[in-house]
Amino acid sequence: MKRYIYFFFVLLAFYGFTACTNLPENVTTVNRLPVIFPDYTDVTIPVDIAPLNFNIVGRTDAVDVVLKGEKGGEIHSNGDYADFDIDEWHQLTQLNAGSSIRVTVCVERNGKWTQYKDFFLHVSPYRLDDYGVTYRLIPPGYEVGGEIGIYQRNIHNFDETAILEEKAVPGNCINCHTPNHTDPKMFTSQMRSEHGGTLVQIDGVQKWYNTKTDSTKAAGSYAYWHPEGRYIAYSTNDVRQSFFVGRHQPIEVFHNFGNIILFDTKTGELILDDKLQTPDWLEIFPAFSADGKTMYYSTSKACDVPTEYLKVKCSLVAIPFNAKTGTFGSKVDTLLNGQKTNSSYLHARPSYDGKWLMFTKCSRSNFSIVQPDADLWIMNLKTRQSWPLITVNSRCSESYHNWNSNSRWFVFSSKRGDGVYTKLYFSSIDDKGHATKPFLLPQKNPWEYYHKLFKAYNVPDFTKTKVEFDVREAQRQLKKDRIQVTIRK
Amino acid sequence: MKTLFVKHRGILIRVLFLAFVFLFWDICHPEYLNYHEQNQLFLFSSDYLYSRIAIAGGLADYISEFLVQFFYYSWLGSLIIGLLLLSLQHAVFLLSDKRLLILSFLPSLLSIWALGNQNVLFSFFVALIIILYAAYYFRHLHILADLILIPLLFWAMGALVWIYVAIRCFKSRSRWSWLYCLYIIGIQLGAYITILRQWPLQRVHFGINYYRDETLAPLLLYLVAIVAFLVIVFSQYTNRLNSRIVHATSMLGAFIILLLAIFTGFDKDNYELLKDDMLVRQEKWEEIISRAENYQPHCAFSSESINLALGMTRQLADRMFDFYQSGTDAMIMPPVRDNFSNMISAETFFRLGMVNSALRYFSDLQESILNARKSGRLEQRITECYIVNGRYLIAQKHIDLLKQSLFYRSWAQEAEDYLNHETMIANHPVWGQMRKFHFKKDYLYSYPEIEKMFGQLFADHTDNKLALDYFMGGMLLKGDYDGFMNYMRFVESYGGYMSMPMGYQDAIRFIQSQGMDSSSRYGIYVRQMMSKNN
Repeated sequence: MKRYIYFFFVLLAFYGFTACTNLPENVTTVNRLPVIFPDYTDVTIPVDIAPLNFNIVGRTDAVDVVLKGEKGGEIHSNGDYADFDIDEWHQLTQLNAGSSIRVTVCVERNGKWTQYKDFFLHVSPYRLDDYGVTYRLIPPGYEVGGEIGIYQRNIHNFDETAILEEKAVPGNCINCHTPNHTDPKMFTSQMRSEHGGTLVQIDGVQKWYNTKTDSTKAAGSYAYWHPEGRYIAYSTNDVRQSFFVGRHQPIEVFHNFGNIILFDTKTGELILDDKLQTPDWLEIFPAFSADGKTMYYSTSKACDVPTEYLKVKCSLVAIPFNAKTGTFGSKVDTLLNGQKTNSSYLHARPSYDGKWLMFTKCSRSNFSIVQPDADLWIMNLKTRQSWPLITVNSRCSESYHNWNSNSRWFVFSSKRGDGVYTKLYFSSIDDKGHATKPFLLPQKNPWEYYHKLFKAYNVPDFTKTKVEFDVREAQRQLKKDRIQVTIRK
Repeated sequence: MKTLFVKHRGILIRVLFLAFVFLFWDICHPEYLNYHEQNQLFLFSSDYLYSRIAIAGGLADYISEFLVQFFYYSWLGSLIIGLLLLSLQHAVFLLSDKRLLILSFLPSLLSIWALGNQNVLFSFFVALIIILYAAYYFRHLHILADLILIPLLFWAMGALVWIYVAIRCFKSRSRWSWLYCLYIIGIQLGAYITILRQWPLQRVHFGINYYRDETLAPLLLYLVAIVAFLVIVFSQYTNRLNSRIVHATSMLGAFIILLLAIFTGFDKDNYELLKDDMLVRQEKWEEIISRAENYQPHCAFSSESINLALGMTRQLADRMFDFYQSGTDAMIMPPVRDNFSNMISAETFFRLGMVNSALRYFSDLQESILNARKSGRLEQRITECYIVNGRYLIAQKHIDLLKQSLFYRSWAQEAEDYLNHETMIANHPVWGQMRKFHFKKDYLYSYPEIEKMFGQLFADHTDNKLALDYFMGGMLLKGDYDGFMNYMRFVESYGGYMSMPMGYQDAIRFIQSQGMDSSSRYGIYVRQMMSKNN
């Protein structure tokens, strides 16, 4: 009897095993690449990134994927989609740093297996050891933000946690989370509403300011930290939207005015400079150089918007900054002239190693994310030569890029795919300023995740470590009066 | 006969109550059901279930949304409300003295009153009913078992677990009852500190999903739960009271609450607007007009509804000023950040063929649903806009969402067949026409020049008669007499009228008499606007 029971369990285990796996047999090979989502073919990835799981586009019965490292190691996935074990994946990438991983994909359809042409994942020699990325998730509505929130994602696995969601502070529009050079110990953010304010958190201490004064037109919005951590440059804007009536581009975003203010976190004072507060020009998107001695920003001639929206052309300029005195230099240097080149240059983001300046170029506007022709460009800060990052650009908008802490990697948002829902992509830069083919932020089941997500990724940035934010303290502080900033005389 | 009545009195009263509730909502307020249904989209998917049960009270919310999806048919919705309120009565009845039948109806009657606020969610009633039944069926449960049951009930049903705790404390009459309260406070605080970190404390304590608004639910709603508890408490002491007096008082109380519920709970103008919205959705244009002939709230929403109904039946040129016109916003309202005000504007854009503007308004309406739900109705419209605009990838995304629902699935499957098939779309009665009516040139929308956009829409496609009617009507609303007189030639050439529409004749007479024609309907509007501006 015992023998029969034993035999029964062996049979059951065998059945269980065969029912769960469906290994390729009688495979037909074809000389074309598999159509996968996300398109991870020949992308370059860092060691220890979250597994690049992928789905086969179209109906399939089963997918069998073998990953074989050029330097060794092999992992296997079999199921509805390519879903790799996280530890095995990390080991494989570690083993193949600076080399490649060959991906063999077999797909079963109607009981027949097809093996596609192999493709490669290139494992970069450059490390990406930052904890992850922060971003805002926002429904891509028009004037109503809906259920928005700021989140952080561990890029080495699939963990996402909320930093601050709208439900914690009902009725508030939560703006960008801006750390100091990826260090979340210092960050700033804005909240727009009747009870809104500018948050500056340093070493866990939250301070909520009212950065609107009689001498400034609005509270601070787009922000950038001075690398030494004392100053934050904000642009003050009046952002507006207009909507097209035609079929194609739905929206035009513009600013009625734009100035740049400098906030001294030590004294709670605003530093105003006439060159950054011009009445006939708009100054926007400030960013400090790696050494903190220069501030880059975009500037455009004030136009009668929305009527003259086609005329909005931003130049990329630089102004010297003295951190000891908190003063700007007298000469504004034009790096790229928008009017002359009939283009708009925005979102200057200097690399933290001082070598590069990445920016967005589009045909018009001072709000590039809604411009389909917005592309990422890079400038060599030594030679001042600039060129488009062809490998990362698409026919849709690329924008809101930021560097990781060692400036070998950058994250950017792109509307490629459906043209509406912005997603996050990662790419790396080599010594010559050439970018690798970007990869989409990995998800456990990418197709299901992105197809069911009705929110757009917005304003991404790297974070060196996990962001610690006390939501309760924010709720308490928001009930109190803001700290009023003063103007430095 | 009398014995039979006495024997089956309970059943008879319940049947009568059910019939009353059913008829009240099905006949008097089907618009209420429509409003609830269009502010959610229940999906048959595991993700949807997980997203609901991830917060305290989520299971009640899930059950509630499951039930509310059936409000798609008003008779079914009315029946569900009736059964819910009857279940509430039954649960209270089980926990109280069996002789106090009428008294057990008080919470249900009060619920009718509370439901008059259209943003009160059914999750509250689902939670209350389940909690009361739990209090009854687990009444013999050992106190230690409550240690498990209370947190479970809190997580599944939300803050109304306090009613369970209150009943247990009351029934046990132990001097250690206060430990129950301490326990539930501890659980709520624990959840607040750990899992519900993003929720404000008062919402964790008073219920996250009982009300559509981000603020706390109205007091009346909590009164339902308190009264339910008080009835249970009170029933324990009725032996000492004269039963006739108790019955008479209960009857009187029930009657007063019912009257208050019906006459104060359902704001007439508010419900008129909800009905307009429902009728626009159902395209019952003649009913909108006939209702407005009898009563019309004085607000832009109502003007928009009647104008759209008149426009769709080609009566706008004749009868526009027979009805209340709120001003320049009487045809399209500027954007309003709520889940209702712009509904007619969005539908008007859609029917005019202003697809991008319709998409914008529909999208913002959906994002304005304060408990962050999707809307089946709005999702459907958004999908249609994307199909008309040829954005098939994004349309597919919305279609796949709708395919997970019960009542929008077949529509979504049908719509899916159209994706990437240009000829099929061109031949579609609505989408084909919308594509045809597209603006020939793209430019930026400008609300202050809305009537000019109608004019351009018409100029691009002279067979878009609705655009012509809105163009001319828009100029009259704005008081642009020169424009109106100048473009009368368009009406003559393209309007398709056998004779000059009465409304335009009236307006011309008023303009030509330089405002001296006192009998002019248009003149009444002009004077009304002048006095408003002064």
